[in-house]
Amino acid sequence: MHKKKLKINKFGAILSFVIVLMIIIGIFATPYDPNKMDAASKFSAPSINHIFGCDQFGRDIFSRVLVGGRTTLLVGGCTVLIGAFFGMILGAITGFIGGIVDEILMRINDVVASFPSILLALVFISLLGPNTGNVILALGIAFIPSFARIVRSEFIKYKDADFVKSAKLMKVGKIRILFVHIMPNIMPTMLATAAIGFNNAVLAEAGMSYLGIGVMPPDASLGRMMSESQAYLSVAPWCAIFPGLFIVLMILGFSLLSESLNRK
Amino acid sequence: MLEVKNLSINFYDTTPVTKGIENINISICEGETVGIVGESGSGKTLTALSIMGLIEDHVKIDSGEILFNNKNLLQISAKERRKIIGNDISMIFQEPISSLNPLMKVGKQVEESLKLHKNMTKDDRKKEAIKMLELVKLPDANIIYDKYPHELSGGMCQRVMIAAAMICHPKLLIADEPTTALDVTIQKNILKLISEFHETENMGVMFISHDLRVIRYICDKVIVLYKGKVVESGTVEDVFNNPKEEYTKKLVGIKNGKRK
Amino acid sequence: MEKENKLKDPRNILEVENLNAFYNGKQYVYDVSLSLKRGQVLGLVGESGSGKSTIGKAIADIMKEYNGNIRIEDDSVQMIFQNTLDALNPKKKILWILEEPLKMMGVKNKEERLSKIASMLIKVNLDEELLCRYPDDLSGGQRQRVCIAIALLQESKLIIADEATSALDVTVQDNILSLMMNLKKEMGLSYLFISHDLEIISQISDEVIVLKNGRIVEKGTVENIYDNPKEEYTKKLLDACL
Repeated sequence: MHKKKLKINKFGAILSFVIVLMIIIGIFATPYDPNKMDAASKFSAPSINHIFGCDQFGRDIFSRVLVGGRTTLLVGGCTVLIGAFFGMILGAITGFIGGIVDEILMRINDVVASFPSILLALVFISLLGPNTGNVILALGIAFIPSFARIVRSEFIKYKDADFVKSAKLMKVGKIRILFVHIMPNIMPTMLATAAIGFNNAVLAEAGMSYLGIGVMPPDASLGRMMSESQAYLSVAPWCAIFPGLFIVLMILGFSLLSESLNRK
Repeated sequence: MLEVKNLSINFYDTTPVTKGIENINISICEGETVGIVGESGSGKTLTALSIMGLIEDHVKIDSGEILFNNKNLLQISAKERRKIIGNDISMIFQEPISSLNPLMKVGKQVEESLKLHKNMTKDDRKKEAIKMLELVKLPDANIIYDKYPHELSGGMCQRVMIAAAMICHPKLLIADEPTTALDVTIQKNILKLISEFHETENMGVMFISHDLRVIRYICDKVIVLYKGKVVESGTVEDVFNNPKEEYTKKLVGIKNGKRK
Repeated sequence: MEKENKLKDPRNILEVENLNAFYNGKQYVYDVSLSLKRGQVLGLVGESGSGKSTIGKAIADIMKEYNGNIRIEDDSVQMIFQNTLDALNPKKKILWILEEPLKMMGVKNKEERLSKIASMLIKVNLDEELLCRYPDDLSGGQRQRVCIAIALLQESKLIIADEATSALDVTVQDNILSLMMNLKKEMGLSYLFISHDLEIISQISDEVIVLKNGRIVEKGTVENIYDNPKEEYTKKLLDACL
């Protein structure tokens, strides 16, 4: 059998792996307690003891980045799950059924889509209170429209396929056709969209935390770390650089990896 | 005029490497129509694309030469190649509507080769293009000039493609299954058109098809390909009336329609 | 559209009366009537736009906009398509694809399904090792055999073949046509064979209908149509053959 060579972007794969690994290890142990303040280490530059240096309270930045990264992964991951799950159902129904149901649902979809995700999140937070759960809920809902639209166009593409006609001739029910026959074919596109959604979620969360409406102290968050370090940029730039760098590398790794996986 | 010598091409994007064509030899003299017949995987299209320089990076030419008027097309610079392809050697493809740029008026596409290879004014080019459209028997050529591909039928698009390919009066026309996607009644007309050009221009034609009947209708010589190798070659009469190899016999036999 | 089970002529397996078919409101088939006797092959021949595929889809009830009287024995009809890659779910293994119609027919026992599939594979000349492969690992001919197997597993006696051999290599076409003819004899099948290829139609059909722009131009036995065409269009078609 001649197998087509799969070109995975090695750099992206390794980068993603390393970052996720670091974060996972960070769940069990960090070099220092991320919330422990140590006046003596205030603003210390990166050194052997503190690879990323310390912030204004003497907290080890490396440990905080690991914990912050965990939050970011969590928010990104859950957002994508919510967006994908409901987006998929919405897309499947509108794509396959079409007609007036399609029209109405897609217009509602458009309305939600026209809200910038951060604005939507702001509304949620102000109504329901600022906690990580609400941030996830808000961003998740904000991501449903783009998933729904993409899933819908995939279903439209497949609903006239010959193998679907064949399934109809076999008297397969509509729901089974949607979720057992067609769904596996749209998974590659879904995964690619999910990867992009993940990246956007990471950025959105960072942005929200930076603005102060995201994850609340003492929970660490890469975005908030950057926000808090603004004042100290000239004195201790590492306070802002490392969290920012971590976000960039995380997104870079996942983007490269998912893009290479999606290539035919 | 065209000589393909011992050409071998392989696909390097799989493990193990997939064979494309092996030691293919083809020769086409001026004014000769040579048919390349084969089924899928025979390598016929690959051969044509390698002459035109249209193969992708992972498809490598492992040996052989392609001599056009004694110049090895595989060794000349890109600049020299650009002077030949589209000018002395032209190609027409199978799917007429998708081979044309959907966003460009048909007349402009016919002119394109002129723009690249000849020094002419805009008006002269347009005149030449319309003349060509008339030569391919399109009615109201100056109206067709301004149409887009999707406004024309498959047969008309194929005529446009032929016009675009012929506008620089090439010495060699490579036709890759040009009538396969067309209706039977249109097919015969397109074949007649190609035949006419072949005669009036004394142009060589490499006609690729899986359909023996078409090859017999339009070609003088035929080369039979099977799984990347030349299986049999000769004049059309010889190969059809006296097939020597098993595979050729099978191909010829099928088309002699026996009731099942 | 009405489907009455009783066919007017007991020798027929399919009767169509006054079929009109549309896509998005535009009419593509005009008042077509035809019948197919049990055990025979009816060839529908025409160029693109003749409506031949549309007629097939209407009879198989896989399109929405049509009206007319269609009567099929036991209401059972299957179809095989032109594009074998499109006709098989690219993300499912061949075994799953072959089990699906059996599951839909209520064959709950896995062993029973496997045994039916095994005997069907022999009938269509496919190796069991293909069961664990995906459609794009198979050749065009192998895929079409799978499609034939799918149709036959559902025990229909009426099969509509919509350009079923048009996308295949010439030598493979020949094999598939021979297979289909053998199966016809062996299992008492009837075919509605749709094609633009006049030669193939002449090789396998008993009766032929020539279509143009959605209307029947000429109907008759193979001999009548090919040796003694009456209509201008039929003559033109035959003349265009090389």
